[in-house]
Amino acid sequence: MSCPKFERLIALSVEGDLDARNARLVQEHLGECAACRELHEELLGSQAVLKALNEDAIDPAVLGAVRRRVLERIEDTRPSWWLAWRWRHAVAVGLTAVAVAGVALWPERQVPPPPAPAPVAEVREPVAEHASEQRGADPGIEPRPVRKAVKHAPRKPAPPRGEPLVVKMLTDDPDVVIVWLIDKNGD
Amino acid sequence: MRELALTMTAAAEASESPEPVILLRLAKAGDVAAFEQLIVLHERRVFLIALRLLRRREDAEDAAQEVFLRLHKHLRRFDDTREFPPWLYRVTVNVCRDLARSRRRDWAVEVGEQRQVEDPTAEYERREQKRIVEEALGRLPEKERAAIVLRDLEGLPTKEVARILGSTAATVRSQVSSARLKIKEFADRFRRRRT
Repeated sequence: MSCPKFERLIALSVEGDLDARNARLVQEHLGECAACRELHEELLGSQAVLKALNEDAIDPAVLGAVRRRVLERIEDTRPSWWLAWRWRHAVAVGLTAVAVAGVALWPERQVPPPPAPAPVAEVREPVAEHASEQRGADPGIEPRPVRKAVKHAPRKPAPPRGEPLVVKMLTDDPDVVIVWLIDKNGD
Repeated sequence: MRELALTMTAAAEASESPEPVILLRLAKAGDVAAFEQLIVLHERRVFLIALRLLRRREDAEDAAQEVFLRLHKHLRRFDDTREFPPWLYRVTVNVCRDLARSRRRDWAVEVGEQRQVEDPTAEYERREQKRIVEEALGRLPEKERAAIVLRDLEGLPTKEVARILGSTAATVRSQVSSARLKIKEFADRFRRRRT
């Protein structure tokens, strides 16, 4: 029967888990106590068997199967962030395309300032008189105001309203195509 | 990323496999091949720890799978300056604990029928001893088993085991000492019964 007071210390000493002072105490005691020496020997034996458990061969196929399952699961979860990344990318490219189209169309959208109203007012007065005369003659007919031609700087001809600008963007996914239709007003 | 890839190439040229730390960084950056290499490096130990804690091969497979999935999920949060294996072992112990609870299984397993030695050859004796110790390990309380698996089977320092188990070095020493004595006791009882 080993000494209860030393049992735990001996159990620690077999794997070198004691500090120097306690290790020395145990060594001294083992020199004096046959029962504790026996315990020490038995513990060394059971520890050796315990450690041998880690030498068990593991079938590489088992590890390979686990690895494969892990990688498959990772692949399955991949599209969520991958798609999100692609969409972020696509939106960035789309915004750039819209910005480029806007810049390209900008000069055509510049409308010349409206003609100054003063010359029109001068012309309207006689026309109004003429109209009242006409209203007097035939009140049922609303006379159309007649404007005299005012000479303005020649207006730029309006850009021809043709087909809208089509921006087609292909993504990595062949099923996803982003199409922007931009008319000539940039809308 | 490119810099890392170049470093990895250089490391690969210098030795057969790139440094684990480089693998870790590449895996953190989303490199699946690097993550696979990381699994290859650690799968055996993770599987063995799970097997010793759960004692069922199919449970150990599930646990190992869950460990690496959790690793993949939380890898970005891992601080490069810390040591990787202790972190991985902590994840392993937690996964095993969760798995045992979710499947309502105690970590300790009932001792199976004790077979009589009919042919006492050396090999048979060795295998029998291992079986006894394995069963003794299975009968230990959860915390003692975790402590002795990490300390004696994985050879981790007591302080490291304490960190992994969220305990103190003194507690781990006490658990390990108790576990070693119980395993020896169990083996003695078995031997006495046999003779």
